[in-house]
Amino acid sequence: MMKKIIVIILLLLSSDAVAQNKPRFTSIPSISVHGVYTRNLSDFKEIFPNSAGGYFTYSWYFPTKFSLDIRTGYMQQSTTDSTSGFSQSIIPVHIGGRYYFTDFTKGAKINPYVSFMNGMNLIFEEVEQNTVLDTNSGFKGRYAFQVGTGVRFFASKNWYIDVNANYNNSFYQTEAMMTGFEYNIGVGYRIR
Amino acid sequence: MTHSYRLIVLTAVLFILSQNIFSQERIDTLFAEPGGEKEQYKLLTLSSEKRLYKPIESFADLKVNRNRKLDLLFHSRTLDSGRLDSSRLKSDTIQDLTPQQKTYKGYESRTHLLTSLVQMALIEYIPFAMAKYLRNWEDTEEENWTKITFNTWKKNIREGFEYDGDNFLTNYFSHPYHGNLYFNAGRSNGYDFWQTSIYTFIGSGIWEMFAETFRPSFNDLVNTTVNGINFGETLFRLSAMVTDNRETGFDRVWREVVGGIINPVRGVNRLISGDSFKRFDNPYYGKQPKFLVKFTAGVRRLDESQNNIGEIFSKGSEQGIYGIDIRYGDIFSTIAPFSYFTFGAELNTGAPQLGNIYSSGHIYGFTVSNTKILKQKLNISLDYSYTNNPGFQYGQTSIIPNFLTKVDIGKLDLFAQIGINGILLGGTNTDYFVAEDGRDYDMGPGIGAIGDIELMYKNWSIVKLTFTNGWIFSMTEPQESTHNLNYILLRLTLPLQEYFAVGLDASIFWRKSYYEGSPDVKRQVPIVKLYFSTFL
Repeated sequence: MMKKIIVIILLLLSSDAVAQNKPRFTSIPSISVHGVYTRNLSDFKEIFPNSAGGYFTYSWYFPTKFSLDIRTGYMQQSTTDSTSGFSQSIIPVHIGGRYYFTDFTKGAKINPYVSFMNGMNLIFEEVEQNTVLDTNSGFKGRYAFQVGTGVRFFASKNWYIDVNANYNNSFYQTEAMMTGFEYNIGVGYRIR
Repeated sequence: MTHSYRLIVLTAVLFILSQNIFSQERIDTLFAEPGGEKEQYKLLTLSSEKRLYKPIESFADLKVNRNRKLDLLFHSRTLDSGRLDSSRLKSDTIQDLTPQQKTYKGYESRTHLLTSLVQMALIEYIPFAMAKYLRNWEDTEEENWTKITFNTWKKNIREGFEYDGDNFLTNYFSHPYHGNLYFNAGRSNGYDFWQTSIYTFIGSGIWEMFAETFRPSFNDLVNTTVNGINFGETLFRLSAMVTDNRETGFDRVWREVVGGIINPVRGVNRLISGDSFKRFDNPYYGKQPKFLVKFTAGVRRLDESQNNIGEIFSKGSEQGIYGIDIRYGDIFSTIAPFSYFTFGAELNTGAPQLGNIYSSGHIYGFTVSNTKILKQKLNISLDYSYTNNPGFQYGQTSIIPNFLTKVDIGKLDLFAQIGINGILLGGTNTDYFVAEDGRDYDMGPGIGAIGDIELMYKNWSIVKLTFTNGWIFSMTEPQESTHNLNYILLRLTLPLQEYFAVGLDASIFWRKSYYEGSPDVKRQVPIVKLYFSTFL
C-alpha cells in the first residue's frame, strides 16, 4: 500500500503538475540562526519573568520584498525564587512572513522590515510545586503569533546580520496569556 | 398565498432585470476560447437581441451593442496561451479616446502612501468617534469602551488577546466589512493585493489594541484581517467592473455612484483624484470578460425545531429568499490573487434578514492539465462564509487547498473539486451558553473536507452535489467543546430560457457537538428552496 502511495506521489511530482504553469517568479532561499531573549508581561511575568533560547529559520525571498519563513527552536523560561519548582521549555514551530521596505536583489544592503509569524508552541512543563497556575506536569500545544519589526544588514553578497523586536501572544490560558516582548539577533546566509 | 403572490411579482421583476438594463453585461459576457477554426480562436458572445450564446466567426459578425460601439475586441495573439488573464484582457478599447485620454494613467496605477495612511486613520477614527460622541452611553448597560487612556493601552498590550462575546452578526459580518475598508485604503491607493493585506492586519491590530478599553479580541483580528482581505479585493474588483472610465453622461454618473456604494473608499479616491470625471481606458481588473451576475428569488422551507429527525414538513416554516451570485474570471486561467472569485448573498423575509454571504477567491495554483477536453488544477482559495437562519449559525474563515477538474462532455461540462477545509476560525451554535454581549456560539480553528460535483450546461449548474465538513475545536468559554459540522446540498436547475431558470435546492445541515462536562448534542436542519434565477 505504502509503495503505491509513494509511486502516485512520485508520478504527480514528475508530471506536469509542478512544471507546466509554474508562476514566473523565483524564490531566493536563505537560512539563519538567532539568539532569542523574551521579557514576559502580565500575570505570566510573575511566574516566568523572561526566557532565552534560539531559532533556526529557513526563508524564501520572493521578489519583490516579501519572504516566507518557517522556523523552529528551543526556549527555556526562567523562574523566580517563589516559582523555582516550576519549569517550562518551549519548542516553537512557526510559519509566517516579512515585508521588506527595500529590495536586496536591487543592491539595498540595509533591509528594514515588518514581520508576522504564527504557529504552535509545543510547551513542556515540569511542576514540582505550583500554587499559581492551574497546570500539571506534561505537554501542551498552544497557538502563538507574533508581530514585529527589524532590520537586516548585508555584510557581503551572501552573509547578513538580522536584528528584530517582536510582540508575542500565545494562548497559554485565557486569563494568563503568554504575552511578551521578544528581542532577536542573528546571522543568516543567502543560499543562492 | 403570500409567497405565491410574492413569487409572481419577483419573477416579473427578474424578467425585467434580465433585459438590457446593464449594457456592460452584454460586453462583459463576451469571452474567447482558443482553438476555433478561424484565426486560432473563436469568440462567443451573448446576442443582444436573442440572448443566446452563439459562436462568432469573425470580428465582423459582432453587432453594435445597443447605444454604443462594441469596443471590446480581443487581440488574437493574447488568447493563445490562455494563461495570463490580465494580458487576455488587453482590449482595443481606446479607439474613441483622444491621444491624451489614451495615455492617461488612472489614480490607482500609482501608489499614494500619505493618502492611504490618512484614510486608514480616518477609517479607525470615524466609527470610534461615532460611538464616543453620538452614542448615549448612559442609556445602555454596556460599558463605555471608548474611554481609552494610555493605561488602557498598556493593559491591553500586557494582557494580550482573548475571544470576545459579541454576537454573530458583529463578529462574522461587521468586522469583515470594516476590514474591507482598511484593505481598500491601500488597494484603491495603488498598492497591490499582498501589500494591501498588511494594511488590513495593521488596521485591525491598531483598533483591537488601542481603540477599545476591552482586551483585544483574537477572533476580531482574524475575521477583520482575513475576511477583510477577502471582501476587500472582491469589492475592489466588483467596483471596477461597474465603473467605466470611457462612459459619459448618465451612464457615467450611475456607474460612479453604484461603484462608490460597492466600494466607498475607492469611490472617495476617484472623486478626490478627479478620475470620476475623466475619460480614459479601464484598468485590466475592470474588464474581466468572464463575469456573471445571477439573481435569484423564491421561497425556502426550513425545519427550525433542530430535532434529530428533521421534520421539515410538519415543523418547518417558510420564508421568501432573494439572492445574488457573482462569478468573476475563469478558475482555469488565473494567476493573480482573486483573478477568479465567487461572491454571493441571500436576504430573507423573516429574521434574521441577512441569511447568507459567501466569498471565495483564488490565491495560488498550478495547472495540472489544460487540454480542450480536460482541465485540472491544484488551487488554493481564501474562503469566507456566513450563514444565519432560524436553524443554525455558521461562520467560516478558511483556506482551502483543492483539486479541480473540468471535463468537456459535448454540450455539457462536468466540474468536480475535492479539497481540505483549513478553518482558521469557525463559529457555530453552542447549546449551553449565552454571553452578556450576545454570543451564543463557539469559535475556534478546525479542519475538514469539501467535495463538489456538478454538471454544467452553458452557465447553468443543472445538477450539483456539494458536501462540506468541518471539525471546530472551540477556544471560547465556558467549556471545552468540539463540533462536527456537515452540510450536503443537492441542486437541480431547469433552464427555461438561456438566461432564465427554475431551481430546486435540497440540503441538510447537521452537527454533533461534544462538550466536556455536559451531554453531547445532535442537531439536524433540513432546508428546501424553490426559486427562479436569471443572469443579467
